[in-house]
Amino acid sequence: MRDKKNSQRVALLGIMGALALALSFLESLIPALPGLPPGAKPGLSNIVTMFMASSFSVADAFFITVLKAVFAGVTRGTTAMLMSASGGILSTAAACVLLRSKKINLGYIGIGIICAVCHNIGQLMSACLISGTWSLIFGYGPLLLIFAVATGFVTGTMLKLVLPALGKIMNRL
Amino acid sequence: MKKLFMRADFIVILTVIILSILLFIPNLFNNSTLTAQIYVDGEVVEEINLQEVEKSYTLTPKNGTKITVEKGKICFSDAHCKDELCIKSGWLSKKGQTAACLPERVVVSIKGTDKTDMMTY
Repeated sequence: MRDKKNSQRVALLGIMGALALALSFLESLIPALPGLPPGAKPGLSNIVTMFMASSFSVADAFFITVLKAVFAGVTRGTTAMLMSASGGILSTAAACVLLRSKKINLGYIGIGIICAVCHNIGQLMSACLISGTWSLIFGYGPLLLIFAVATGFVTGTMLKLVLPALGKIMNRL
Repeated sequence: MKKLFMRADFIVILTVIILSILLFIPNLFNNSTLTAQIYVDGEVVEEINLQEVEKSYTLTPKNGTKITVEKGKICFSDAHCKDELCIKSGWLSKKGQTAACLPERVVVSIKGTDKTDMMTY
């Protein structure tokens, strides 16, 4: 029985990991939007980490985050890996706290926005550290925050939409 | 099961927007001077504060190469080389922008290190 549970978990982690990587690859195809810093993306793979944080365990959510960072490192280089890891770890931590706590009265949109904001803050901080220019906070910060509201709105809504369907599959296991 | 949207979410959105406005305020005061430097043969021959330019005028730093200066911007306006790449560079108005006329070794560059090219992430 325990073996069956374990292999189910491994298989699901594999599927979810592949989904997160496919979504982040899909995003990288979107051309740079004018007015936004290059690299600003909708963060669709955040849906996967948020789902993992809400329906699986904290460890599994962080596993997906680390997998994404390694994938970014292999395909786009060390800088991309640091950017992905710094943003990903901060936003996954936020997702774990917000989605797993029963006391927090936030809807999915609010949680999505906070996660996106955390992701962008983490990336901005590491961008400042890498380039050594702290003025980036004022140059890019405002835009990134507004952008995070929009992307968090989208990811939060999508998470709410896919959760019932995914929940059905989970129950059948 | 959590709801899609709650009143607290509205507060989150407002907080983030207010935060971004607060972060934007320093940019309004950050109008540090826009200085153009003209290099001939690798040496600075002229420094112009572009914000203090009242009327547009033309400089001729080296035979036939003309540079037009206007309030807040500067460009190559005439050259006697074939490709005229310096003219095609157009108006320079932001920190870090550079146009160069290589045949005559004339370079126009706007001083400032603020502009950082962000790597893709």
